[in-house]
Amino acid sequence: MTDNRERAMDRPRSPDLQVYRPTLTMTMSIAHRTTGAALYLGMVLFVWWLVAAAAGPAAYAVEQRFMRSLPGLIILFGFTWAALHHTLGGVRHLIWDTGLAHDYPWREYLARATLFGSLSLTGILWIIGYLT
Amino acid sequence: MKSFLPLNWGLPGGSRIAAGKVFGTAEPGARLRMFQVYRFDPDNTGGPRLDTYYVNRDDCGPMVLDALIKIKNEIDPTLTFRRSCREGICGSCAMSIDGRNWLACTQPIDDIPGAVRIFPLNHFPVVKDLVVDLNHALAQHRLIEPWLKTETPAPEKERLQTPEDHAKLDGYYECILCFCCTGGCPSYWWNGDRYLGPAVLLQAYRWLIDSRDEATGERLDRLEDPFRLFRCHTIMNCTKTCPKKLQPAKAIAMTKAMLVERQH
Amino acid sequence: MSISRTPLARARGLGSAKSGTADFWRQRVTSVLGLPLIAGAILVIVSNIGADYRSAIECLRRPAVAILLLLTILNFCVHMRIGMQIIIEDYIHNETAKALLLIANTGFVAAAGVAGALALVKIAAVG
Ligand code: HEM
Ligand code: SF4
Ligand code: SF4
Ligand code: FES
Repeated sequence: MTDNRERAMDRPRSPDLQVYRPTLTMTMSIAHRTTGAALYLGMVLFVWWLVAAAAGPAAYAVEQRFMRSLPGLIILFGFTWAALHHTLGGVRHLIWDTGLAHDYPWREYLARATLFGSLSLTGILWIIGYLT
Repeated sequence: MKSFLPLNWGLPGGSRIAAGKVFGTAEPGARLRMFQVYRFDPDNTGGPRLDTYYVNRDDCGPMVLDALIKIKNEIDPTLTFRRSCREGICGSCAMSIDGRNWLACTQPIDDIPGAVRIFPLNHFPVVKDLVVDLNHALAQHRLIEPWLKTETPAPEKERLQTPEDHAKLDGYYECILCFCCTGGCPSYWWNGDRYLGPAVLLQAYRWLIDSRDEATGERLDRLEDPFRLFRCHTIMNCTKTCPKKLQPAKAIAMTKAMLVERQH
Repeated sequence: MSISRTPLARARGLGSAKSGTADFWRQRVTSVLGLPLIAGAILVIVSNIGADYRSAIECLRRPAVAILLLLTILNFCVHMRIGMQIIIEDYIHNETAKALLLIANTGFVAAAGVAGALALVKIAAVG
């Protein structure tokens, strides 16, 4: 302890994310939050599509021109992945909420399954969408 | 990847870690291990720093705590850390070792590749070197009233509990309150002033499911709060970093389930 | 941090809000109900990639599609409002900024929900 009161009041904080070794479950947790927030914003695109369709051919054409441009396609691709990743991450959360799969190695399997599942499902969906 | 962020990224001025002193050199031949240890001296003016020590592994016990004691005895007597039992039962030697929180006395040096980096438990205020200020966390433990609460007059002899009911406490009563989990919980980093953190919530659950306790509802009332309990987002850092292999995240999930159960 | 308060006084703070379970539960209910909804919605969206105006309208005005998308929007408006509120509470510690962001969150979700729902109703009713 120190006798210097001012210094005792103003203690440094020990580092956290600056030293914490990344783990898969922590990374997936960050990804769940990021994709959730991305879907939140992505809701604007979905609503834009519906409103444009309701407004008539001219508005719909504007929306379609954007969605078929390269940035539009990239956003749409990201949106598909975000939706699938967040959905599978959500299922993982629901399983953990019931108290299941907290033990090693099941919690790691679950975290890996979310990642592989979302990546492969996105690929499959887009390949099907591209072919048809 | 060692960490998500570079060492001093985003740390406020007084918490930034400077390069420190180097004690000894890496002699070729001897089985030397490099230890980089967080230092903070409240009696002087400087901020935190990272000191480097070289310890001969052939002349040192197997655990990280053995190396710290050797450094204190033979190299730098000013190094300050907490320890008592040196067998993983008192919970005092919890610290951040090689990027996760563990007890220094049960962490083998040889399991860590490369330099052994040691910091105080994450995000706590630092009293000195590896000693953190746990006043707030212990006050949160006091808040959940971690003792048996009954109104029925005590029986003549002991309070009875069936072996089945006692077994429900397995995996929860063993907690040694080392705060490894709480120190590693991101929700506690961002909202520790109001969020109770995994160690305290595991203790809370241990009293919620004790068949002898008569205050279950009152305990749930106290936890029913968006910050005290529901800041937990099942990040799982706590369960992974518990040196007693307990599952605080599960205790928290089951507590949430109890709260849902009494509403429906 | 006030030094005139004891650690226990600080830990107890303003006491328990006696709430939180309802939002938690609603988040789970909308997650479970959301599973079939989002699967259907993704199929509708993907099958309409590149569709021209007429065929998009034909698809959207079918009762099954309209009902599916309406439920999807309502379900996830509830879900994403709680979700964003949790994110804001996690990271924003200035009380004024927090209050303003929470209001903006509700406004955003209400606007998105009403716009999407009205568009669907209009398409279903008028075409
Ligand atoms: C069926 C699909 C979905 C499931 C199963 C699901 C599940 C979940 C769950 C369980 C959580 C809580 C995570 C926690 O407690 O930390 C959550 C959070 C969240 N969800 Fe979803 N969700 C789905 C779709 C969506 C959609 C479509 C959106 C946006 C439009 C969305 C936005 C959010 C947001 C913003 C959060 C907060 C993220 C956080 O707290 O880290 N979710 N979701
Ligand atoms: S599971 Fe909950 S208590 Fe454990 S580290 Fe994550 S947020 Fe913290
Ligand atoms: S749950 Fe584990 S890590 Fe947390 S305080 Fe108890 S023993 Fe330590
Ligand atoms: S010294 Fe007691 S737990 Fe390590």
